[in-house]
Amino acid sequence: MTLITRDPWKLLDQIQREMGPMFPALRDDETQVEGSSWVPAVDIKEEDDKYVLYADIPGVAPNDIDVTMDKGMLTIRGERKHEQTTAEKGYHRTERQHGVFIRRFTLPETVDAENISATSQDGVLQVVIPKAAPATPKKIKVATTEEG
Amino acid sequence: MSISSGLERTWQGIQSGWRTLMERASNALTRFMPGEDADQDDRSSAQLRASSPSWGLIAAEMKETAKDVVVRIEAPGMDPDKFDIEVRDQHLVVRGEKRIERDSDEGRYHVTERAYGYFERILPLPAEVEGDKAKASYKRGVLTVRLPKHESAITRKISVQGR
Repeated sequence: MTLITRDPWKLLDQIQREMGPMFPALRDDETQVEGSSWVPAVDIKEEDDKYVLYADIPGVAPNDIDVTMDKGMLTIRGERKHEQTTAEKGYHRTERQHGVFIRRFTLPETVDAENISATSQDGVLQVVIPKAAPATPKKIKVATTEEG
Repeated sequence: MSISSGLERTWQGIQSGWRTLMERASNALTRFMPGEDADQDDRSSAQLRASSPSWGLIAAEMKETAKDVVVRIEAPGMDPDKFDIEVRDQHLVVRGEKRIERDSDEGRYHVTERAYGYFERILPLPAEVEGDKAKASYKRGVLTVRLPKHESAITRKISVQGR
């Protein structure tokens, strides 16, 4: 008897590989926060002197996006409001998700939190997080108490 | 319960769950094909292209009013001049391309969730429209296409005259 001819785990692996990047919920993802009704897709790039985060947030007014940095944690939060109420008649298709989104990313401690900047264009939020200048090693002189 | 029947059940569970997911998301789920500028990739763009998903969600919203059909499509970070919109056999066809921004060739990506390349979405229209009178605008990454209904499709309210 053949135990299994198809391997269910292989399919799961495949789904994970192909679809995982699209659905952070399929991954072990700590960037999602409870209370978030949708998850914007992001890219994070590291350059020599900075980190750059790009998030797809179409249809959200820049005023409705908050970017905060607290204790090494970068939070992007916002709300997509209905342009009109979708409860009204005449809708044939409603795939767009509305409501609040929140995502959090832990950044290395070496970032310059004071100089983070955020811009939004064509529905893409760009957050530039400069790296902190490397701390110059501080030499600590060992005091000796010479005792006779 | 034998291992084989347990696995069989798991497999069926995955299959039905997957089918449900696909049915619900398949409309918005869109395949992205590599763009024509792919051969000009520098090192970091090539890394991004290789690790970014080849599927993305292009969510649409379609509303019918008495005189027109309004379609809104979420397509962030695109060049509005590059959209290719047409009406064919009572379907709206929207094509576009999301290009990789090459502002700096240095660096390495840690998270890559956004899809890049060409996409095409075909949406069935609920009424006959005048494609040549369609108007499109692009704001905050949302493409809005307004299609006036064809004369024959306009609902007219006919009041019944009392006597």
